[in-house]
Amino acid sequence: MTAQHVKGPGDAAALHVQDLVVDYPLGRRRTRRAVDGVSLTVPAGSTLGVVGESGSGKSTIAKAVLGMAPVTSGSITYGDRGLLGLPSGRRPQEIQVVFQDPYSSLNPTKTIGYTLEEPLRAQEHRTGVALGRAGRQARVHEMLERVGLPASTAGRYPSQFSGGQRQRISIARALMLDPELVICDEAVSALDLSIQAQILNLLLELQHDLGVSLLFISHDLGVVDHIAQQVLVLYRGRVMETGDSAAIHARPAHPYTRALVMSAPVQDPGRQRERRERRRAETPVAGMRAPLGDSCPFAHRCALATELCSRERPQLRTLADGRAVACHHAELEPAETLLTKETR
Amino acid sequence: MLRVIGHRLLVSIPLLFIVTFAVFGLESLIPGNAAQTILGENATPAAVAQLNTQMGLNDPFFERYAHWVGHAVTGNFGSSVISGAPVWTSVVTRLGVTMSLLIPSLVLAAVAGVVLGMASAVRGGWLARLIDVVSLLGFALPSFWVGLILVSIFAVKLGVLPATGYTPLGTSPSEWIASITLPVVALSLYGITAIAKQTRDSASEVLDSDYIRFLRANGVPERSVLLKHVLRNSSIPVATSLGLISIGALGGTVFIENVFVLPGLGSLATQATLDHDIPVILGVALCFTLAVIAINLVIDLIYGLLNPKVRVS
Repeated sequence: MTAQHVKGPGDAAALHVQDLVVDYPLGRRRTRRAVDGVSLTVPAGSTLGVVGESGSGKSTIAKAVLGMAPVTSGSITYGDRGLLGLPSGRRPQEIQVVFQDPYSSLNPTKTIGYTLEEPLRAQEHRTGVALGRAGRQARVHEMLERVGLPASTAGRYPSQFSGGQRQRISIARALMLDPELVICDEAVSALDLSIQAQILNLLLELQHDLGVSLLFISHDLGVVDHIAQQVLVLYRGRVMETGDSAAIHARPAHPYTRALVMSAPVQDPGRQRERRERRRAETPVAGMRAPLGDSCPFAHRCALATELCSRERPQLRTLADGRAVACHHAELEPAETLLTKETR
Repeated sequence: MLRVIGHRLLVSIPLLFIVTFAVFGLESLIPGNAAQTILGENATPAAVAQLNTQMGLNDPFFERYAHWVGHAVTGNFGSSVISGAPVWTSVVTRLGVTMSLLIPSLVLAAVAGVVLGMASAVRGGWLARLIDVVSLLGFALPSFWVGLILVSIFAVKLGVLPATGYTPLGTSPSEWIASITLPVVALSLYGITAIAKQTRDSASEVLDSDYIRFLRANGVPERSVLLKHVLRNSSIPVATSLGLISIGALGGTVFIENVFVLPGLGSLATQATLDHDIPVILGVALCFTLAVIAINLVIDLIYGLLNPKVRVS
């Protein structure tokens, strides 16, 4: 423990992603653009939520930050360090990750204790400073306790734990090296609703106690609203809307964000029916993937789309309340949206 | 652990009865008899019948089986009706030859298969495609045919290795190696390809899991990722297939020993079957059955060692 310096709040750095472009190879000389010019910032000690449907590129952003995606252009910096092109042994250990699948994220043949000690051993290997067996074990017990699991967990195997418990273990593993930023890549998506709430509360508690910042990736705007101060809405690898989480959840300005908000079920069946009809009216063709070209990526699914939208890709612009939206018609109120649709 | 072994040994007792009974029954279905073999083609039917009666081969089926079992449980496996040599002695002598074929084959199959499979999972590309094609050949080509081809290349054309025959390890280690090289290669080809494919599939799956991503993101050295995590986890299904391959290879020794004229159990079984030498056939069958039981036991113990899930339950 002596090797690690005690962090003050001023030490933590911010993560900056600037104009990130990621292309996945699809075989012979063909590529698919998964992330298309995304910029984001995770300020120290706060939470940025990244929302989008599957295939929107949100997990690719996480992979790019972890150095596991084929970045075409752009920059990723943490504090004053550039992260792109770093060999895996030199990556900043201040950035840690919790993955989505609680079953694939723990090695089934190693004890929980061994798995949790692994980041410490890697650090010893990197720095040459040895904590020793007892030091590592003490740290393992400390972190298990932090995430609400008994110290005896260390001697057991992953198969003896439920999905929620495994996710706690994954969080403990991410905390082993005193991270400043934890990337949660759909970290609660595979869990039951009640367990989701427990894990979200655990993350909020850890953030409060340890001051870690979170890059929280999810397809569920409701979950993101619960945990994040800022939100970024992705669609087909592009930013559609970004800004204050509560404001965007309450009054989404981009037609796609609106569709996302509408797609979450509500408790009142009457309201649910009304919302479903509105959603259908606003997003006529769901799931279709028209060629992008110069058009707005959402144009083919958008009720507000005009000739301008298919001709010119909308750039992110800042609205009066501080949020940024990539839509030519963002000023139209949702009510007008319906009206426009019906009168056209 | 001891309970598992004890349980297995108990289960193997009825199994031995079933196998020997089945071999006994099947043998009696084959036309011909031992007396005919001993007396030759030109013997009179009367002489054959008399010798058969003399050797007790005309006794009722169950009586003969009970007689054999009665002696076998006391450790007396009788002697060959043809040569008169005690079955126990000839089985034990020849077991050494078969094992010096089987064990190197399995070691070669496991080591070469795992190395090729891991390399192909990690490197991908042309190596993976090459292994795909070669493994298809390995599956398709029968081992005795591969043996013949190897003999025609290395023994006949190049003359670097003996075509047939066996030199015991005790006599000359270098000649022993030369005498088993071609048979071992022929026998292990199937195992190498099967294990390479199995290893590649399971290693690719492990490489794609999030715990490997976590280790890499944390800068855990690649060597340790591959050896401690990927190899360990992908070896679990490999152990299972190694068990099946071992049993297949045991049967394969029968062909290989005949192709390379090796004095092992397989060639003993072939000759005994042609001669209707029932005590020898039963002795070999008993030995093969015990070997299969032992292989299964060892594989299950390895499996338990590799897989904590099995250990826990």
